[in-house]
Amino acid sequence: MLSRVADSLYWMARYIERAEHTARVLAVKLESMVEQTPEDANASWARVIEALTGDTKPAPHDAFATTRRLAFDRENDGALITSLALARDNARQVREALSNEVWEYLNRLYLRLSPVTMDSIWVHSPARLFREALEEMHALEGVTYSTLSHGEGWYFLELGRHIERVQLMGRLLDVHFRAAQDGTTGPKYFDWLVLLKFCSAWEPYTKRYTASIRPQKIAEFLLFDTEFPHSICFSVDRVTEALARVAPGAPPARRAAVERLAGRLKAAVDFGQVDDLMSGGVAGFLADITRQCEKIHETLYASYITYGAETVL
Amino acid sequence: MFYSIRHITQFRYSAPVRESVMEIRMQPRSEGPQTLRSFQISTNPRAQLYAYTDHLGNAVYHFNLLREHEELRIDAQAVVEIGLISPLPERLDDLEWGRYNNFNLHDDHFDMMGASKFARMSPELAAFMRIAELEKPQGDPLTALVKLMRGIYDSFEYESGITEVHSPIEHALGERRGVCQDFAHIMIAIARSWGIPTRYVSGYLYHKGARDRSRADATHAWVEAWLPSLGWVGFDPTNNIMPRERHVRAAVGRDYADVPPTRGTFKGVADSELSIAVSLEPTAAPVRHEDFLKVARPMSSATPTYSMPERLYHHQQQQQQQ
Amino acid sequence: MQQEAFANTEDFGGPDIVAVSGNNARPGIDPPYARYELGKPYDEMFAPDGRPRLPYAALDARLSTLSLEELNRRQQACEQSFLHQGITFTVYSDNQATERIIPTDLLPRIVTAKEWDRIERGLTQRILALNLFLRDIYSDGRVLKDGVVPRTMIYGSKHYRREMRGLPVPHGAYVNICGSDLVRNEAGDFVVLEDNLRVPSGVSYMLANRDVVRRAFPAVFRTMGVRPIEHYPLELLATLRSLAPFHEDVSIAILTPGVFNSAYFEHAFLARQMGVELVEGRDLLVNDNVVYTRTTSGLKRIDVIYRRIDDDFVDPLIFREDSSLGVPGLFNAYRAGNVMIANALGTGVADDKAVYAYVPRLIRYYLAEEPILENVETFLCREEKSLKHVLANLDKLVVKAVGESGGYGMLVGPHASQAEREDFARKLKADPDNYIAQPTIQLSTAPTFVGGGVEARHVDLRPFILHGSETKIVPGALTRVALKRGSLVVNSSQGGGSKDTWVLNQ
Repeated sequence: MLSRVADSLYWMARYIERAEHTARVLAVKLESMVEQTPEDANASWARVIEALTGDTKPAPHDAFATTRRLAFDRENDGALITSLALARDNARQVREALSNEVWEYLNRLYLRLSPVTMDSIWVHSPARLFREALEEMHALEGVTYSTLSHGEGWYFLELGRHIERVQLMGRLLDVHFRAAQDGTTGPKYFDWLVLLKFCSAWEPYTKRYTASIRPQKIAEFLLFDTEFPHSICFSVDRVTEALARVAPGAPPARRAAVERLAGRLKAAVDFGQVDDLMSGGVAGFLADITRQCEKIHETLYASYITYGAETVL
Repeated sequence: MFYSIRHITQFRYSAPVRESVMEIRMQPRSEGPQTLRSFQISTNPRAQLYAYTDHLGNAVYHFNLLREHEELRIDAQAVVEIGLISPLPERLDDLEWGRYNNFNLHDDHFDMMGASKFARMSPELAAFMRIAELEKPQGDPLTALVKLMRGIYDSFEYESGITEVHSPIEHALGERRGVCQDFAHIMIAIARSWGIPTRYVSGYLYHKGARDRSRADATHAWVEAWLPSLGWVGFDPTNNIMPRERHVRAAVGRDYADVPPTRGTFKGVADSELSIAVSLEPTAAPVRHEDFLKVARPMSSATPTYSMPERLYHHQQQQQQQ
Repeated sequence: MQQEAFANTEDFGGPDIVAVSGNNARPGIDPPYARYELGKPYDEMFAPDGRPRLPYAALDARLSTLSLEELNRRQQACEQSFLHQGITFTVYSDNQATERIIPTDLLPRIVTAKEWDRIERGLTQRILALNLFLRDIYSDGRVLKDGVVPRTMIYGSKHYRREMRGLPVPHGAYVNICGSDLVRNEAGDFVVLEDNLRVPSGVSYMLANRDVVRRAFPAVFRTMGVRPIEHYPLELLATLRSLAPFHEDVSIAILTPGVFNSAYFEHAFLARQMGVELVEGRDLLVNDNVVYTRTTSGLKRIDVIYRRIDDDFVDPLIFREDSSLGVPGLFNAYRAGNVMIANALGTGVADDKAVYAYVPRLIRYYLAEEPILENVETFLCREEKSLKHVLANLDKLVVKAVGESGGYGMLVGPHASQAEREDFARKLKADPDNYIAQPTIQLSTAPTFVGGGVEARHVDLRPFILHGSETKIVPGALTRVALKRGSLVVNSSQGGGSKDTWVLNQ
């Protein structure tokens, strides 16, 4: 596979994941807003903004303006529409490596969302658009799964999706668990419920732990559950698996460098204990996992994408 | 007469670059009175050299260098023998003009008669030809060309740093100053406007005495014009002399663009600094290499181009498809 | 997921629609042809008496049973399909990038077997002569020595690549992919308007149009015996393969300027259809005269490059130094015979407007045959007799500068003012070599669905010729149509659309 194609597939998946994450968080946030006091809603918006953009401004958050910024502001690098546009740009560059169905689905989704304005959705049910977008993206995932050969390209998509997911999930969890340490403005019962919904985790969680909402259980589930697709552990497993499948013909030394990092990441997650983490260690743990993913990204690029040509002759 | 030539080109980059690709036109030609006795070329970092002969009969060496480097040095050494050169007549008969006909002219000549990148007619050149009374050739072709060479020599000061490798002749025409490359291009454009096939010669000059205006430590350039009864005859408008045994020819072309001593590209974002050193000695004299490499202006060699800014890149992609 | 609108049209298994009823709709009177104007130009569908020509009878019968709303619906479905597939080109203005489709017309253009036979033979003859010409001017220059073509025309051409002199190319085939533009004159004969020998594009539209139009009129398509074109990518692949000196494991790549190029869709389309790599210049590198692509597993050697970038940009070491699209060292790898490039470099010298005028002479010179397809009559102003004729008839002719394209340096005599003509006459006398003149060409008209109904619009025809170890022409073409009423400009950049072209078995 061409290095440039691998690069584009990887980023296409990252941007789709980012778009999906934004759509999901916005849908849940807008749906749950009505059930909160203005103060709680404001604190919750602040966490959403920080998780999605990294901004920590305490100012009151206007739902309309914030939604517009997070969803439709093309000047905003992380906006839903920007992520989709970038995903599509990357897909367009590798059309020959995608199935027609994947390209058309993504293209159509973009063309559908591209003209949408806040005014057109706000009056009625603003959450609905994001729900629909989310459904479309789930469908896109399905289309990708069932129309694309599960070869090297597919595994670069997997890498992009899950490396991005670890980072997005990491930030979301970090914001919530850090706030829980503060006490005063910390998440309430309802906020933990919303957090589970941000991660599509409400039902799977209750199946596992019943409806008793406890931060420690939530952390255990979202960090270490091996079966739930939005847990950190699940994504790490996918990353490890994918790393073993890409660049089959690369020189052994180079493959070893990548796989060593994958092994270290997996060990960190496999032997992590939620008991050790609850006394404030969640943030440190997440930071470590995120750092390791970044390192994997760098090594992946250095080994398979931007390597010096003289090293492989 | 034997000459030993050494020509060192050195590029220094402000940041590491990679994937350098370069073509070299430095090997003296072996034809007529000039015979190439030996030629060696090496690069540092070392690279595998390849060679071919271009359609003008010039030997071209080329190589690529994948790994990162901050410096690239090309070292060429040649030994050339210049044999007996038969003397030229003082003048030719006036019928010579009529001999520029389809019977005598061949493929090689036609290509040296039209406009080329650097040697082309322009309002500035036409104005110069008017002032210097060079609009129409005077006398037989040989006499006219000698007069043209003299005219350029008299009208221009030799001064380096006024023009660059890629300067159009208008620059030198405006300043009335320039270097050998400019003078050669001007002479070529005028001679071609008279209907005389004329070509650019890059090479080396053995400097003797103070009369030569060109620099001893650089490559040289002059022209050759085709005369039906004499063949290709050299003219050096920089020094107002007819090249004889002191001129060593390396490459011929329509103009400089066909025969730069080096032409290359690299990948990476870096500025490059070019140093050139040239020595030419009768081979009896030993060549000293120690002290002659110094930073010079990129006069006789184009600096390699580095990768494009993103915007230009996109712009070029938008090129038209038929 | 929404179904394509016409996946289930009633055309499937519909009635035998070729049984024509007695009362045909008449052009200019009955819907859907109420606004159809039959003029002086040859009309593809209607004979001068207003009756549909035989090959169009089935289509006519089908059209007269469909309401305008239904036609409109199908037309929109076609366009929607193009948009979704991303068969778009991007127009840049004011820093805004807008994606547009090249409109596809619903109604196919029909070419009979007999007409096609002549086109096929004529284009085969033409590409042979053009390749012999290219080989000649890049080797002995016999045609120049014999005075058939003036030397200055070749040496003065900006597309003449001196670097190609003396370089052998496989099978002597310089032009491997050619798209020639034909038009039908008032007498109904196809003549050649120009040859595109550098990077002709549009073949993906030929294939994409077939895909949507066949779905719009499935029954008509089935009954008419339309020759298939879907094997074009296979033929292209075979042509490219035939350029490699060996025949196993030939590694082929399409070299594209990138996603911002207007024809990028086509580059990706062909790469997918052929199953070859689509590469950009930055994916390639040359080491020791061998071309490689960078893959995740290391460097992979490339043997044949179908390049879709201009000569100038192919190799910054040899051609334009500021090219960021090409590959430094590529030409030397080519010279060394380690990679084949299609089309060869320097083919553009044979498709400029002046050389075009010589093609009939080239056919006679190289093949000792008469041209099967005529040129549009062309006067070379460099020839004294022609110049006189042109100057005397400026009000009737179109005069074009040889080196220009895209309508620059052009005089359209019948539409020009007296002053403009006089001004042009001066230019002509000053530099006659630089000009050619042609009579104004009346392109034929074909039925085209434009909103309110079926109207006559001018069309041309671009078949695609493949030439490697043998010559192949897939029986189909891109029909370009000028969507503006009365317009003769079929270029997509200026409001042109395209049509599916049905070449019949009979």
